[in-house]
Amino acid sequence: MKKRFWIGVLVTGLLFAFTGTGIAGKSVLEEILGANTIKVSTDANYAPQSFLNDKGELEGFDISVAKEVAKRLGVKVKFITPDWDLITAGKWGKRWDVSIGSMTPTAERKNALLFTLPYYSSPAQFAIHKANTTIKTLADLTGKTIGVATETTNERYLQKNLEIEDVKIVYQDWKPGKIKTYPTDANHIEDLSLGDGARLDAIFTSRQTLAEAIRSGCGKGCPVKMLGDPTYYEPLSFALDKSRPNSQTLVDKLNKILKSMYDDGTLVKLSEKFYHTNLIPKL
Amino acid sequence: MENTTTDQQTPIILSRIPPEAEATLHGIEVKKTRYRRNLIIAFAVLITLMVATLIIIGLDFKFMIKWVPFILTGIGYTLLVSFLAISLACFLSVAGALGRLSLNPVLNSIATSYVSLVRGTPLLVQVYMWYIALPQIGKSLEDLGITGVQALFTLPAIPAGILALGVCYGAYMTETVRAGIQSIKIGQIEAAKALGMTNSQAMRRIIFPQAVRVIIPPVSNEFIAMIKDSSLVSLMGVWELSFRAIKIGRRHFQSLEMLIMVAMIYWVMCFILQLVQEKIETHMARGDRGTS
Repeated sequence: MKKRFWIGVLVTGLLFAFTGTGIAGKSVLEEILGANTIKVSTDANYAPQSFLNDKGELEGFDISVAKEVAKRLGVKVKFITPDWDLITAGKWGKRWDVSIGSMTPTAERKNALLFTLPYYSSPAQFAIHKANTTIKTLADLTGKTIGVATETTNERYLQKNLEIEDVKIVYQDWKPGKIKTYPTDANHIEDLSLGDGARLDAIFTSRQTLAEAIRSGCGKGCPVKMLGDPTYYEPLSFALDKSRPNSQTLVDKLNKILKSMYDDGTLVKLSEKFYHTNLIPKL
Repeated sequence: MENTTTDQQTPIILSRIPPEAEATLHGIEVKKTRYRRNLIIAFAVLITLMVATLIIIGLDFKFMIKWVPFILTGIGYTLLVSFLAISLACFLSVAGALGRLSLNPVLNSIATSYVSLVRGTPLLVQVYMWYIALPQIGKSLEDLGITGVQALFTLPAIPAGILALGVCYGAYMTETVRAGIQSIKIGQIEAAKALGMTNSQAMRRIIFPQAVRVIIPPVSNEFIAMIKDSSLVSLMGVWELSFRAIKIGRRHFQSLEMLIMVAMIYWVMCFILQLVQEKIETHMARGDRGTS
């Protein structure tokens, strides 16, 4: 008797819980304005896009852009820092509203994510160890071991499997020997610094990440040098969760904000500040 | 020849211990002090070697000291996650052990499959399951017409981490608790029943208090392991010890320094826990005749 009573209580309780919370039809933009906070995900592994500064606070181009976007939305900003794979996987379940993390809108990611207009573009760049004298052109990388961050467009490019809308990708006509993937760019830069050919012969990442590593001396003197010209330029956008209903108004609003930030030169100013060059495309 | 006077004053007491035995006792005492001295020397040499290695590999100590306060701030999350998870695990393990020993086929099968499934899958995979897969279950339930489940199933990083760790360690500890309960002789429960106790009374008053003593060392073991595995929640963006150390290490390309530092912090924490474990053990053993 007693048991049956408790099961009954449980069932009715669950029913109440389910029917009570069913409010539908609110758009993501309204939810953000209602909460007065936009939750932004960023991967704090990438200087100078997003990193921990000397005080241990988040800083970088993406962080500044996110703060500016929140300001123009009239809400507060809250940063969430999950692993990169978790961001690109989509299905965020309202844990964060938008990713402002230099993401390329590839055809594949569009299955899970919605993208805004690009807010800047990034050149992809090969680099080798300073001590190396035999590799002079990109074609010399044939058969060499190349380090790259996992789940990035750069990895896709090396696998000749990269699709970005409105961007023409020209693949290299040589084949790398082995592609070694790392959790994040900082790892393969460190591994290349161990010595020429110690673990890697070359690395492939964004030019600004390399420039920042060389500038900051990546440990002791950063024995890394760039090789050849950038192989392609990728547009980078904010991303939203496609599985979350009623997201389109937020995409439109973010696009409007991006346009205003482009028009009044805010984006260019931030690019000059963090990248020491203008990476902002014409919208 | 000073001894002769004392010998003459207390000849009766001394004569109770034969001189041969006294010599042996003295020999044992000397061996003990020598052993203790050698142990201290061995530890000192080990520590010197460790410090020497750290200096030889050229660590940037200034950099390490500069970031100590920032990384230590993460200790709160590490402890919060570990303590809540171990509490959950303790609860689950007792329930699981009772289930494993239960004669009820439903309870028994639930407990057995829980242990088998959770113990047989990697913790890393489970952490991802709680964090990524659970909201998807919520969504499909929502699509079936049960509203409001998705928000319920979309756990923030810290609760997801606590659940993942707690459920996983609960499965391991289920077996520990079961072994503890089974280590108590059958005579104990028979005696309890002879006194008119019900099954649950016997379990609560007789078996459990004795079993707890047995399982303290392995449970402390699990807790120490948990402190370290709590670093897995850094994947989901919780700013605990290892998250902070890894991010700073990558930012400045000095991962070695940061990793060594965070390893030291974990070590100190676990060392303290080890001392606590010893205290609890002596406390629990206070009713015993001394064996050491």
